[in-house]
Amino acid sequence: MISITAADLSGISPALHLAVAGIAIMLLDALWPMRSKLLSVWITLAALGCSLTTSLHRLTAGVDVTLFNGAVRMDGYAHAFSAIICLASTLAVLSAPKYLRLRGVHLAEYYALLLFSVCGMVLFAAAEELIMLFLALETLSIPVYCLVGFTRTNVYSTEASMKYFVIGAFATGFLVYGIALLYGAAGSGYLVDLRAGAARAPGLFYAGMTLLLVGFLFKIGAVPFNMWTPDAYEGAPTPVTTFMAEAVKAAPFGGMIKVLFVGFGFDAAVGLWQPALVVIAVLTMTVGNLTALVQTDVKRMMGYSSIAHSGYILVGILAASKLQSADALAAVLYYLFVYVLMNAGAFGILILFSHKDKDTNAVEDLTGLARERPWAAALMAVYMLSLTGLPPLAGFFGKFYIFSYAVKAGYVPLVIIAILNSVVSAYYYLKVIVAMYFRGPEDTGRAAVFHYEGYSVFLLAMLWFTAWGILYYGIHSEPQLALARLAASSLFATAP
Amino acid sequence: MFLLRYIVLPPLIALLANLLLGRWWGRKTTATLACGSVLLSFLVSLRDSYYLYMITLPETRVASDVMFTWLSIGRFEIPVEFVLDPLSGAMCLIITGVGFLIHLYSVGYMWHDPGFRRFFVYLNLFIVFMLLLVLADNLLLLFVGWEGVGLCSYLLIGFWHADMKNASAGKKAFVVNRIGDLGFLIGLLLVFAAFNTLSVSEMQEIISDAIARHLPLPLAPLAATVICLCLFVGACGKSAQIPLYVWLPDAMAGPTPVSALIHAATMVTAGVYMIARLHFLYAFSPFASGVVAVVGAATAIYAAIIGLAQNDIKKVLAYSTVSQLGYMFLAVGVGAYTFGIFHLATHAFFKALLFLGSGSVIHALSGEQDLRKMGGLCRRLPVTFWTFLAGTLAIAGVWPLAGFFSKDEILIAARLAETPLISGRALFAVGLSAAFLTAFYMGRLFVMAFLGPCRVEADKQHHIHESPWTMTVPLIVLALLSAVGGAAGVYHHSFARWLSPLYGAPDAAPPAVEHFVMAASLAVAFGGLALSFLFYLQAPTLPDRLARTAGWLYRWVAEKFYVDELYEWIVVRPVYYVGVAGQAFDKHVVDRAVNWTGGGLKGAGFLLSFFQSGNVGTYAIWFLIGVSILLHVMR
Amino acid sequence: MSHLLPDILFYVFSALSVAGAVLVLVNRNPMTCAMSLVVSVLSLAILYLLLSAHFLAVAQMIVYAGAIVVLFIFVIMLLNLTDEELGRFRFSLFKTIGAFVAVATLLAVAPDIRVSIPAPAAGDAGAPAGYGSTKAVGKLLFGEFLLPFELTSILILSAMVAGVVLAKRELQPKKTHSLVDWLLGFFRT
Repeated sequence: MISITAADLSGISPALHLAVAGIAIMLLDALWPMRSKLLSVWITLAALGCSLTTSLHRLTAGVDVTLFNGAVRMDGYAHAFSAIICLASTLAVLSAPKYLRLRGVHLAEYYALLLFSVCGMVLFAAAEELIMLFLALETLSIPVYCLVGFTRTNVYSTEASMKYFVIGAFATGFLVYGIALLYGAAGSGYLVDLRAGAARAPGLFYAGMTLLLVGFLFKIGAVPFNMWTPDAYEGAPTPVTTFMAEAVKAAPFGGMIKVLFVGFGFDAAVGLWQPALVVIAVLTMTVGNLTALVQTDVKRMMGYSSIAHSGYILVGILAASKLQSADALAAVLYYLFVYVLMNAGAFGILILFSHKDKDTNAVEDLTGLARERPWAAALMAVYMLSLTGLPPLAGFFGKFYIFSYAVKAGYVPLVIIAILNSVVSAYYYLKVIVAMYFRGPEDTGRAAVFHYEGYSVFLLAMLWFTAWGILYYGIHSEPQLALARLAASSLFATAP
Repeated sequence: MFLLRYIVLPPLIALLANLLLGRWWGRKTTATLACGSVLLSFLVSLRDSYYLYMITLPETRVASDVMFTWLSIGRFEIPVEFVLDPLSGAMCLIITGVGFLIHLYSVGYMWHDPGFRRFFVYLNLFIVFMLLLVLADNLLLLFVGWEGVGLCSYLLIGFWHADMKNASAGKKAFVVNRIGDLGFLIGLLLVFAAFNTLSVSEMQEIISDAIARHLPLPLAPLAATVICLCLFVGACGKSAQIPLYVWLPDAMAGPTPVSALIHAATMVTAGVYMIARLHFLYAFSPFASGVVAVVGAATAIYAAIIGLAQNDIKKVLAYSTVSQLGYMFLAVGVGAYTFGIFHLATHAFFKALLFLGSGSVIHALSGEQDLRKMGGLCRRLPVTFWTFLAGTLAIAGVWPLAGFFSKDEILIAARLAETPLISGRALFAVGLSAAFLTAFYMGRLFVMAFLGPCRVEADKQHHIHESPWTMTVPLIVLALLSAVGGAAGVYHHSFARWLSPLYGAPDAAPPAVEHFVMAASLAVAFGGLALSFLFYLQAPTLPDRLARTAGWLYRWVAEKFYVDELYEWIVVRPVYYVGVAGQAFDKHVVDRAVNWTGGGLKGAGFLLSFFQSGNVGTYAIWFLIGVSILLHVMR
Repeated sequence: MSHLLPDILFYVFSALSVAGAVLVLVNRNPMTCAMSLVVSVLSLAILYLLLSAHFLAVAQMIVYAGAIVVLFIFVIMLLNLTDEELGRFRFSLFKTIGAFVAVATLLAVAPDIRVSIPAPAAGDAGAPAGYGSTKAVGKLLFGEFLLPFELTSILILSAMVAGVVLAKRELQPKKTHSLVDWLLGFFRT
């Protein structure tokens, strides 16, 4: 009756490693609490490393299997997302230990929750069926609500956690409602069957499609479902913000793209989601960038910037859906990869200088950094310039590929708006550089002292890796793009 | 055998060495490495250009060097490929040649600065990016160089960042340049959409192929116009043309060698170079070319008028640079690419010379930049004086110095031009007026700085000294180039013949026009200079020495006092007030407009952040509104 | 007549369910709210019954009405809030807008859904035999939906851990010997 085959288990091993490691950490913490902290860091890194290498290996080997009676499908696309997410989570984990220890909340539970969340993310991009999709999304989200409030003595952290949870539950309601309606319309929860619902019960189908889309748009922080982003980013402990800005950001795109392309398809009769997404993309970019202009807190600013970047990624998704080409979708995957690197680095620098009692968050806190800590300032400048989209850094190519495919797809006005937006964004990223390089204590009236309070070997490795990645993958994006193409073409093999 | 990659590599290696190991060695090693590497680049460029010249068939004078495949998306590949043709060869020689002299000069100028090493690292980085820009065959690689030089410019403007004004000048430069880059990037994407490639040589092949086989061209006239205009917006940003010129005068906050290298000789000419490189696109769109010409001419005269009323020695030169860049755009706009590049070269010589000379003056006067607090420096700074004189005469267009030949050719081309927007005569008239104003304000600058009584503040008087040899040798070399560079270029049309594989042999102008233009431009050059001498040398406190050396002039001035007053009321005062008005316009309207755009965006940001009330209930309501709109729309 | 009975029951209990939910929202007294919630979840259980989902109906009663609402009531009693602490229900612009938008959203969906529900096929004999029974649900859970079912355990585990982390008073472990320490000590001596 119970039918788990060895193939099933080995097939979902990228997710399985993570769940098992999470449970192992909980057990270890119960049995040996005094030594569990550092051990759990290593266990987490090992599990993420295993998943990462497995996914990459299977991606290159072209593994494509449907598992558990069709609930998940581990193809190139799922493996690519799994790799991106595991990389992102590794970077986030590397930034955490010292920061949490300084605040007295270095707990094994942190890593267990994080691993459970990552497990959900991996399954989210692999889900082939709506129930699975929903459960994966919840497994992804619920640990993050807790992580946001992890520094419990901090009022902002608790408040952010509560807000994020409430509004997240609200959005989940819509998502579930959408799933119910779609199921009612199509008579099946499998993504490939959904399109049939458009003819059977158009009203149900469109309402369901919209509500499902709303659930996804909430997760990626698209306007007007973006309100939680800055609050949660600002209030969360910085390592958690790192995690949210890269892994929790990238993962929802995995499920969303799959549902849009495989579930709803590109047929004009069904493809009403495209014009709606155009409007949302424009709003998302513009609102994100304009609001970021007036922020004085780097974390909050990055929150708005992440909203804006969601807009750019939506442009890429639209281009891929119009062209129906794997190359265009590969550009989106490459963008996500680059985005992970840039964000991890930028938050890493904030963690590096965060005092025990006070985080280094305000732009003003970085004043004069270049004089005292030139290397750290140089790294931050690389991240900011890459976020601005300055060649030859990787951030530029991410944007360039997306925009060039969008032009090919005929979205010229959309691209012009996007480029205008990236010009606007130069201003606020530059604000950080100006503060670091061109201002000193004499401008702010207080002496800034920069101690490497948050320094750890983990963090150092993370910072150098991200900076190297931004420089190297800007010049040599070909291997990454080849992998992304491989992943994208496997999705298009199943899309209509 | 061409060694193209070895043109770019030496400065790159030197900068890495100075960056990573520089702290363990002294200033001398740093300086030797930095200067030596640029000299090496110059020698390699010279060698390669010579080999290029040795190729007998001019049409085949192209060499390329593929370093590696940078990226490929599907069928679309971008190799890191350097291409040397007569145009990029000339640019390389200018960049590395003038660049080397300015490096040498900087050794003396920056010797006492605590950021000595950092300065040379930035400077070498700039050379690398600039060489990348001119050697790139692929527009995307060109764009990398384009952004890279912008970044270096930004870093160097804010080099003395203790002063907040410098930092904000750097920021202004960066942001204004980003606006230009916006146009450039859109142009780039459109080129890609039209040609499916970004390689210049491939684009050219596609076009010539289509023409040869009578196929439809890959781009419609309207598309060509849009692409050209977008790219021109980028050029406007980088090369400081109306309306994006505002950053260049502010950029003078950087050290003077930077102003000479980046903001006069090389980087700001990148826009001209880019249009000259893509001349075959502009050939499709007379309208876009006309726009280039009109904007160039307007900038030439507008900046010259503002230059009249400046009292900061570097500001005068900055507006002068904007004005001369306008000339170059005028030239490429009317299709005289050869002369646009020719003027680019001569301008690199004499404007670098003028900036370095002004740097020498500023250095001698312990940082004084106000012309009203100079004067009478000719005796104290002899080398600077004579070389500056050469530069002034060259830019004013006095025969037989360099500026005369290049400006003359541009004016002839403008006179004969036929654009759909404006008649050639009008362009010529504007260009000639700008030439007159140029001669006038340069004469004024020269007189106020070097002649007349010494108005230097007492405590700075005893500091005045001639600069060390590392500073004077570049001045002398550049003065020689400014003097003979132009004549060498027009001798047997050697420069035009060098560029003829790209632009074809220049048509000979009708002799009548040629002579008329020559006479007119000489007349305005001398007229402008004479008028400025007349006006600024007749001050009552004129020292006896000057009265004796220029006695006939002095007496004439003194006797014709009423005429002079008449001059003042009819010519000088109005021109001065127009200059003041122009400056006010620049400061109050253009700057405001730039600031208001920023302010407007910020205001929008503030308004939007009100929606972010922090109240979860409000978030939910916005959420719901979004959902219901979506539901209504997607039905 | 027997055709009509399920329809009537459906409308009655769905109305009750909605009314219960609305009462949860507008009541100020937490105990009344909890009781309204019971009404709502029990009505839902009846609706499940009407759809022949017997197992689900029973699970709904045991889990929601039995366990969850009881837990709520414990908490409410422990807190023992007075009327003054609770305050009075007030109308505000905010709530009005919220209600308005919510109704607008509902109206946006409702007509479409109503017109497009597919009519049952002529030969549709309703649910197959054994549909909704414990056995059938079990087969589904451990067959077709095995992975979602297993994933649920991770989900619940992480929700539990999250709750404990956020609520626990003392975070750092006391300096006591754990089992592993004891075992290690055994080897050392």
